[in-house]
Amino acid sequence: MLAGDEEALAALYQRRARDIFRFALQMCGSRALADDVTQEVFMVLIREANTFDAARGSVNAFLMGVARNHVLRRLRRERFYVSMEAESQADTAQNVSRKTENPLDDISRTETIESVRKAVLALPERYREVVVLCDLQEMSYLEAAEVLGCAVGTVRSRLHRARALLIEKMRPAEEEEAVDVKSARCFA
Amino acid sequence: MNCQDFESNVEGLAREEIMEASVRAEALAHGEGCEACARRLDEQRSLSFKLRALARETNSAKLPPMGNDLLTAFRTRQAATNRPATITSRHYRAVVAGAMAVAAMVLIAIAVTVIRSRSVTPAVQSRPNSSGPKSLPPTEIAVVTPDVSTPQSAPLPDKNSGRNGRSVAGKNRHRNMNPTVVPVQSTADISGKDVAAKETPTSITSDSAAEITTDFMPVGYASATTLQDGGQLVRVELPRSALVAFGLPMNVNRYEEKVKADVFFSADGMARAIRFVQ
Repeated sequence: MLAGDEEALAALYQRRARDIFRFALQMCGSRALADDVTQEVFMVLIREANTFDAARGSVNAFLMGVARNHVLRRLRRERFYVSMEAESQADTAQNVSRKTENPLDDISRTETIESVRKAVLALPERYREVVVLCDLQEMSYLEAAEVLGCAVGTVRSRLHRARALLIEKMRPAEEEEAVDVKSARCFA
Repeated sequence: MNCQDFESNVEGLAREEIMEASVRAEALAHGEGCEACARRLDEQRSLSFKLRALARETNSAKLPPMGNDLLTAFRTRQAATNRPATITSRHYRAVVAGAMAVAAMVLIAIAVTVIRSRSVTPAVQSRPNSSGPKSLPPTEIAVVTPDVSTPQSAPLPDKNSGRNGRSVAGKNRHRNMNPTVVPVQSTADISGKDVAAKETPTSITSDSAAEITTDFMPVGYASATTLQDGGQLVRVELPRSALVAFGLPMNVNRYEEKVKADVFFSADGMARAIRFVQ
């Protein structure tokens, strides 16, 4: 690609753009923002390809690191804006349910996915990114550490804390009510 | 394995990570015996299941195609990289600004030089007029060879002949011209390198132009050939009766006043010629 081969750029895009797009989409929950981030990452790659050092990490780690920086920047910039992605997500859920044979299971599955998505998006950024990389992108701890620029132990501890937070957020509402009632009895 | 060890391995079990078989077997055995740890393992497995479902759902999202913007940017970048090193717009502006600055400095330097040269020239020309003949010492001398063989009536001084005392002396020596008033400083002063010495010929011209002299008249019986060796010209003041001695008319009403004269002394120190100056 450094030699000016467009086919190499296209091959690299086909190979790596999906991971970048998924990472951005799972981090911010907006397809439009994920599209922008994906384009920006490859624009950076075109402009600053000579800054890549193979000794410091893989191309994937380099691209994911650039994507992470862009995602965090966009999230901080658009923190005060209200997302209109909910409608499109509802449309997607309806489309999925139309395609399957058992609508009830599909609705339950869609609701579960939505709850997980909301729980992930509600995590703090430093916990959200380890969940996205390790659980959703299925990276190893070492690869995630390269992307995040931290130690493997830090990734493990953050993932442990993030999963605990997710479990806490996705705990069924009945249990929470039961706990509240139980505690009320204790106070009585 | 106790509950604390199980807690450290429960995520690996739920995420189905690769781990040692013995550790995995001990953790599963502890989970079967401990109700709290079994519940904890179920929660983690449920979370992993939901996260995989979310991952699969996200994977089904359509990847945006590589836009033309990327290709255009890539081609532009490559064209800029392959282009030979040329002057960019920033460099071009800097070069133009530098050239203009240098040109302005050169023009200013030329203007200053011209102004200085114009201001110095009138001062040099006006200085003899301001100083006047009185600034010259009374014993100004010059090496000349006057022609005393043919005394004539007193002509008006030649303005062009007195531009430089030394050159006048040389010309008179070779051409045998009639000497005019040459009230110059000594030859050592003339050969000086300072500006004042260089300005001296200009003052001489002005002085000679202000004086009216007679021709040199011989004193005694010296021959012209003996006078070819040169001598010294001395400005003196004589009684007006000296005019009568040389056959020149004298105003009787001014007989008490002095009259200026240039006396030419030959190399042997004898007065050989004289001329009167007005």
